[in-house]
Amino acid sequence: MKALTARIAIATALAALAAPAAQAQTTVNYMEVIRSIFYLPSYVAMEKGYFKEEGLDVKMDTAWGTAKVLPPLLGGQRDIVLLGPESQVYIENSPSPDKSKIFCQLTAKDGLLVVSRKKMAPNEFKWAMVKGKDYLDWTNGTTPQIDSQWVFKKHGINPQKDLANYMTNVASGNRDSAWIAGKGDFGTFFEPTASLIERENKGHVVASIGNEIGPMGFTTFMATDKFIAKNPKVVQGFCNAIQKAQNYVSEASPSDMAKLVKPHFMALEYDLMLNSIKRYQGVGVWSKDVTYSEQSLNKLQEIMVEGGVLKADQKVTYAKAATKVFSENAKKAVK
Amino acid sequence: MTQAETIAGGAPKAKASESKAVPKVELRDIGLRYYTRAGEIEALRSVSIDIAPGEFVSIVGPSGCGKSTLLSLIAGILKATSGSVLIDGSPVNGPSKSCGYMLQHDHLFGWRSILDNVLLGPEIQGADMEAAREYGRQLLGRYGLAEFVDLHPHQLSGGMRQRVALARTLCTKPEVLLLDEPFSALDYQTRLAISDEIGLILREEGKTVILVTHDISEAISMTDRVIVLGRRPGHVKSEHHIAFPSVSGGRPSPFAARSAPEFGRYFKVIWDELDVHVAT
Amino acid sequence: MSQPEASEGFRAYLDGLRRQARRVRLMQALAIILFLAVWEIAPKMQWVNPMLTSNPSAVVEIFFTMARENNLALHVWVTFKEAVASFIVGMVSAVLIAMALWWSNFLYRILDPFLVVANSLPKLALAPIFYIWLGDEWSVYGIAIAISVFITILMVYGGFRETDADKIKLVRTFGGSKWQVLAKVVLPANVPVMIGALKINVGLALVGVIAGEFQASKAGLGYLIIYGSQILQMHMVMASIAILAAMSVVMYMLIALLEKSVIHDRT
Repeated sequence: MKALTARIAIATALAALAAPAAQAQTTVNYMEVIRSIFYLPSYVAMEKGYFKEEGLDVKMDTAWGTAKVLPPLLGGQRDIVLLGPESQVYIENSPSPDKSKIFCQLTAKDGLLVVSRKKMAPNEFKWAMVKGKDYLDWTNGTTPQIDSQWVFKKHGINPQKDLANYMTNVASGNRDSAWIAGKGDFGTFFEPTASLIERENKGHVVASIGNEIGPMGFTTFMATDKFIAKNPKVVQGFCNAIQKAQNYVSEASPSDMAKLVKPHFMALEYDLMLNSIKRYQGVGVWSKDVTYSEQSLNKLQEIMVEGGVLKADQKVTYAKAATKVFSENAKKAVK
Repeated sequence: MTQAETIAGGAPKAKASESKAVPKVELRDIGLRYYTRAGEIEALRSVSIDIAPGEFVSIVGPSGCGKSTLLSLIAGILKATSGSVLIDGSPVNGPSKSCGYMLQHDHLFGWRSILDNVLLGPEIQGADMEAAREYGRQLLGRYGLAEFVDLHPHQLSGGMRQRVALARTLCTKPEVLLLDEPFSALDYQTRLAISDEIGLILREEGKTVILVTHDISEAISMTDRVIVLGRRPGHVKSEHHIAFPSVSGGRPSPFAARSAPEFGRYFKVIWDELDVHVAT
Repeated sequence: MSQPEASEGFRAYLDGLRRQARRVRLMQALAIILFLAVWEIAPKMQWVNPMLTSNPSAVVEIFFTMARENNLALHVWVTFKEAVASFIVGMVSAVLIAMALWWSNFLYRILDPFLVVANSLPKLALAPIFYIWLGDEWSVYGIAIAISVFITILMVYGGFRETDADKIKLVRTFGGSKWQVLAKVVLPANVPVMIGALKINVGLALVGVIAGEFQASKAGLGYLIIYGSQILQMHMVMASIAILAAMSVVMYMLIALLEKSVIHDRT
């Protein structure tokens, strides 16, 4: 009898020790590059309490620009950031003594949508139609721009020669108003801008860059090597929460999700949010696979070299850029 | 010594000594009012003055009595509210080429050479610049400034600059000269020297000169007639013909005049008239 | 007039002045060297993250790379010509407007409050709006001119108004017309003010041009700065900024030269 109670006592003690750290909340300073419906799962993780379940008190702020994310990340003021993986390639190639790793993926495809000013259905659109027209792209060297450049090449279009005007000079803040003002016969936009344009009858979504390129992680979570080494539990917990969110996103209805994350989009109208979520689900930008894969990295670097922002000898290995450990664990741990 | 002549029932009129010929400059019953937001001010009332050709007249009076304003009226840059100004018998409608105005400060243009400063008048009046240039050089030479023609004003002393200003004033060959306290900005010694020189020059040239000054000694030593103005509003109080009978050989130089016995008497009379020490 | 032999004391005095001038120059050179040294060493010693600050040697290196590969000469030329053109247009129109305001006091009274407001509006913040109104090319000139023109109008008009009233009276006594007053007194007397305005406008025009290039440009140093920061190439950004600084120094010195030749003590 004594031996049994002793065993029960030990088992309970062990169980208590092994219990998730839900009681002790660790603060995580998290920074996203912009605020966008494209990052839906991250807001879901917050609103559904997934971070809290993992014992994390996530404090989020928005940088509104890639260059603004790096100093806090490398300087240690932010623990985890959300950035395009190309930044990781740049950091690896830079003289920065502090390096970082991608540990989790948020979006699985390029979220840009091709908008046509003339009304046409997506199945009517042929890429050859952009020849001889004005194309409003993003600024030179940005990932959206090199992505669409790659898609042009895929369809045998030389943007410099075949387009009437390949506009890559408009600052991102001005692009929407430029389109509304009438610049461009075709252009690429994220949501909710694409839905807004359609609602105003200034254009129609005819293609998705994400589908043209195929699966390639577009937005990822990163942390410095230092932080990961010192706080593996936090990183794992974060990843788990995202996995839970991606699972939810793959099943929940657009309207439920729109209502859920509305607090993060006070200025965005509900119907635009709804449309955006539906569209992105259609393209398949969110995936239950939260691992940033080697294929994604390779494809990205190929596009970067094509786009002239990376030299071939500057390509980085997967081992230097990312780690699978946390994401693979999350996939297993979270059902 | 003459006393103010009064015409029965009217304001004192300062008449020229030789009243037969047409006066060079005539002020007929001048009245000037000006209006500001604060109120209207009567600057001059019933001022009548005749000046004969070649006469050298001075106008003295307390501050604010309108002496400089009279010059502006004659120069044609100010219009009287009532009464008329005539030069050579014709009414003055604006600045005329027969008047030359010398201001209290030289106001030479620092960005122009001495010679170009002197040529300002002919330039503005569209005169023959070749001839003007020639004459300008002559004037500067006469006043001992020949070597400075290409220098700039800042390189000259105050006295030299005032002489340049005189050359500038004379360069347009005016017949009537209006001098508005032209020596008061100079130091005492320079003043004595310059007023001496200029006084002689002007008499030689036979110009009609009206000198406005605070300095009674200056007025008495340089001019033929001193007109005293009273203020509030500005009006002719009295006039004094200046003569030095005790000095032989014609009118003494301004410097010499100061030591003449008549000088002191004139000074006292005019000083008393000015009521300087009394707060009115 | 012969100069008397310079006395001992006088020569010592002049030497003292020369020595002091040399000391000033030495200190200025030291300041620059110290700045470059810190900028070079800090990232190497990792006091700051080298990715975020770049350093002088990298900047020099990338300068040559950019010259070879990125058509640096073209970009420098584009920004330079935009700045000079805006600068000239801004200056000339401001002086003409100041002349009009001087000519008609009535016009001045009508426009004065609008000018004051326009001057205090932060034109840089309105850069995107300029872009919408004027489009790609013209918005660059538009912003640069807008930034410099209002302050210049106020400066130059202020100078015109302060012109010595007696000098104007002098011209009037010769029978000068209003136009002659303007041409012979007001404009020449205010050359120092206009040169002062030129000096300010050099900086303002460059600021405006860069802000304009940030909005939507295909070429220019502003374009390079944006491009460099987009591909996280801080060396490129710093090199462009260094060139901009050099450009503004050169332009300022040209104006200082102009000033020397035009102004000989005009008091």
